[in-house]
Amino acid sequence: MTSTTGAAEAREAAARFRTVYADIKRRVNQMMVGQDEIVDGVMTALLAGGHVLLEGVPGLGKTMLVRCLSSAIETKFSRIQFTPDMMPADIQGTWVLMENDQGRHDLRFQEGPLIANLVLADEINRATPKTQSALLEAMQERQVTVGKRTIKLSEPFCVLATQNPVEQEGTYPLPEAQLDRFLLKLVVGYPKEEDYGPILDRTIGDSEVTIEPVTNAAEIVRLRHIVRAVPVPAHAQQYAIQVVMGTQPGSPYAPKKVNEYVALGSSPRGAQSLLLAAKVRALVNGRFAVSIDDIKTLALPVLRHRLLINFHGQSDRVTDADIVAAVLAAVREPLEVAS
Amino acid sequence: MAQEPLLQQQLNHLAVRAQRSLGRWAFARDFRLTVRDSLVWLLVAPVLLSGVQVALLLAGRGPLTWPTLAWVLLSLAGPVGFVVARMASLAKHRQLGRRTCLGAFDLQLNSHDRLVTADEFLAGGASDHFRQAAIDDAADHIARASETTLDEKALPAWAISQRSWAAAVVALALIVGAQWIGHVALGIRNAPDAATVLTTANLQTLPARVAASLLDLRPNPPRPDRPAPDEAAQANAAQPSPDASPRTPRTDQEADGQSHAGGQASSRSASQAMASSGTPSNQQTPSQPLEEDPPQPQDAAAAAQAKKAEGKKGQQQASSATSGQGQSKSSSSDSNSIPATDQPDRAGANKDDGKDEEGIQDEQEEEKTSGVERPSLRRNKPPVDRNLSNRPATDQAGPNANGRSGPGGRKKTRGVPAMILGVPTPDRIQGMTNPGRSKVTQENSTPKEEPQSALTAEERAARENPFGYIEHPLLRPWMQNLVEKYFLQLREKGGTPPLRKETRQ
Repeated sequence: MTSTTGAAEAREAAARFRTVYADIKRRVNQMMVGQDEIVDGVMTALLAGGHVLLEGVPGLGKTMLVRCLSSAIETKFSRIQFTPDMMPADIQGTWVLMENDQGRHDLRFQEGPLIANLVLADEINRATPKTQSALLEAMQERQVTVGKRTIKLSEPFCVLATQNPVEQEGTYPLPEAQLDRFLLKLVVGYPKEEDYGPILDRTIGDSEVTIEPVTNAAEIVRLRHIVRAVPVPAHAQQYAIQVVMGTQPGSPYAPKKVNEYVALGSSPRGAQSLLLAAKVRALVNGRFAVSIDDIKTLALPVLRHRLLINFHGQSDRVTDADIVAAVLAAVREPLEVAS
Repeated sequence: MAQEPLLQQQLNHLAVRAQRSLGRWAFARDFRLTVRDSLVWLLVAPVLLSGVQVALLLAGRGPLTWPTLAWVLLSLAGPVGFVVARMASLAKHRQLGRRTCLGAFDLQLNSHDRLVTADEFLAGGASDHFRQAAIDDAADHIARASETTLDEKALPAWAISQRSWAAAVVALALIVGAQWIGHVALGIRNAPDAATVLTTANLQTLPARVAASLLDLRPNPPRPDRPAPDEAAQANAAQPSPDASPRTPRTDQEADGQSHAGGQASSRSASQAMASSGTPSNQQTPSQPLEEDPPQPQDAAAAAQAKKAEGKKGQQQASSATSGQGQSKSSSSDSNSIPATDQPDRAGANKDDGKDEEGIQDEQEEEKTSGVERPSLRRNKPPVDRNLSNRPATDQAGPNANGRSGPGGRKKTRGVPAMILGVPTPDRIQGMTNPGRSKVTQENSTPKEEPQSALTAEERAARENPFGYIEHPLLRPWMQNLVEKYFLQLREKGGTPPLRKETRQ
């Protein structure tokens, strides 16, 4: 009887998760057209408790997507437009001389835009490594330290960063340590022909689309707990481990392409991210456990930015997608008959 | 909770069904792959049997005379043995686990691992709500799988690689070749005499060793005239060579009118020519197995004359090739006396070489220490003539000499044309010059104290001139506002700004 009740609770939680997910997505899709995979990816990262890096040429709606998401969720949202002259204090906050009620002046901490729930880090690769590194503590430890003061960031905290891969002049590529802290890297592509009409109708018309919030920060935190409760079967976990190890040159699961072209593979954080994102996908698809399909689908956005392709690979124009595809082809699925 | 045993039972049943089906498929797949790889093993038996065949022939025994069918059957034993061994090994190591069997249903029904997951959670005990929900979720899929038959999986094609075809062809060729060798050897073995042997066995096509072995296969005829090897050697030593020259090496050199180096070169090339053509003295040496048998008396005499003539011809060719423009003065006696003349020269040369080697080693060490390659005059060669052939410098002009360092003869020094180099002369000095011998030595030395007188500080004088204009930093807008607000507030309260000490004073 207890187990039946427990299963019913789990089914109810999963149903609640799917409802909120669908509501948020519907609101975002009021403005976003033809970017279903990207919207799913961003919401997966948000609900899995990670951060997401959106990469694409200008004009594809990266910033718009994040703004729509922040409108659909009633949370504290801030936007940082990164520039080369931006300093860590500009995003974390700093001590400023302020006048108090008695007319006297004292130093007070002025919070930076990083202290919010949803942070849009626009064109993050335009900031210097010093400023980019200021994000590291916030992204991993969920806290900001300025001088001797440490501020705990409120949950949910999610950094949604965008970067433009085309304009490389005056940019600073993100360091590996920071790239590893992004749960997903989503590459935003051009919309299809049939999507152009709705995009133009919604953006150049007289009417302005207003997105009403459908949930709040507390609900997002509850959904994150549901995600953590999803179990991972042994075969799925084994497969995720082998896929992550397959990206590491010299490992027993690494294909020839990895050994030739990859200088640095994914860390165990890649396996954590892979399974967390797979849990969200399992719930969204109405399942109560992670499957091999979830891992295979999410392997590319989770692992692509954790690979460092060496000089030979760059000269042979090998992409991270090629490497991940080679790994997925090489690692045997646990349910397949051994050859 | 009540349906868990039922689900477990259904999953067990599904696993057994899948194991049976997948087992059949895996056996068929392994068999095809093994057969495909086994054709290479066709080579094993033919290679071994051919080796045995040749070994028997070389050992002087009779060849293998098995029928072709036996050879073919033995060849097929390789692939068959390989297939049996490999299939046994694969059957031993083939693992069709429960997960794989249930996974086959998952893959076929596209149920996203629900069966495998439920089986795992049932086996481990559903400890939390989501595991229980996953088991419940899989119930429908398990029922669906119970009504489903696993599809036959595709088997690999019977594609035989080019390597396998090549192996089969090579095996066939080896069988045919080994049998042919056996037939030929058998024919030779049964042949009546040596003449038949030489005509039957085609020595141009058989390997030399096999041919030599074949010659030994025939029955040995009686040899009454053949002397003992020791006696023959003594007789050879006592009997002088018909062309032996009584002249000494010194007289040879004087007669040739050539330098020492030239004499060495000509005598060496002449000896090579003699070795290739076969001189009478070579025939007398008892170390050639193929020429041990004394030929028939008439044939022997004719062969000796023919070889003598060939030897002379070869010496003439060799000497003419050595001296270039037909200035050969060497004769057959010279070439016969070459070993005697060579001995002292080589001994002397070896002594010199010993000294030279020491000198060369010293120079090499110096080059290593100095890092610069020095010219090595020891490696110099005599200059070449217009025909680019090494030739000792002589004043004697050849028949085609034109007086301008044409073919042969030293260049005449007459007029302006004589100043132009007519003979392309290569550089005699190789390498780069270096500044000379240098030696670096390091010596340990102890530091010495050097006394230094103490410096006295000068007194600093007082400032006499003003500092000049000091620019005040510009205040930022918020600073200006701050200052403005401060003074306004101060004014509103009726106070006065604090004055600096100097102003107050």
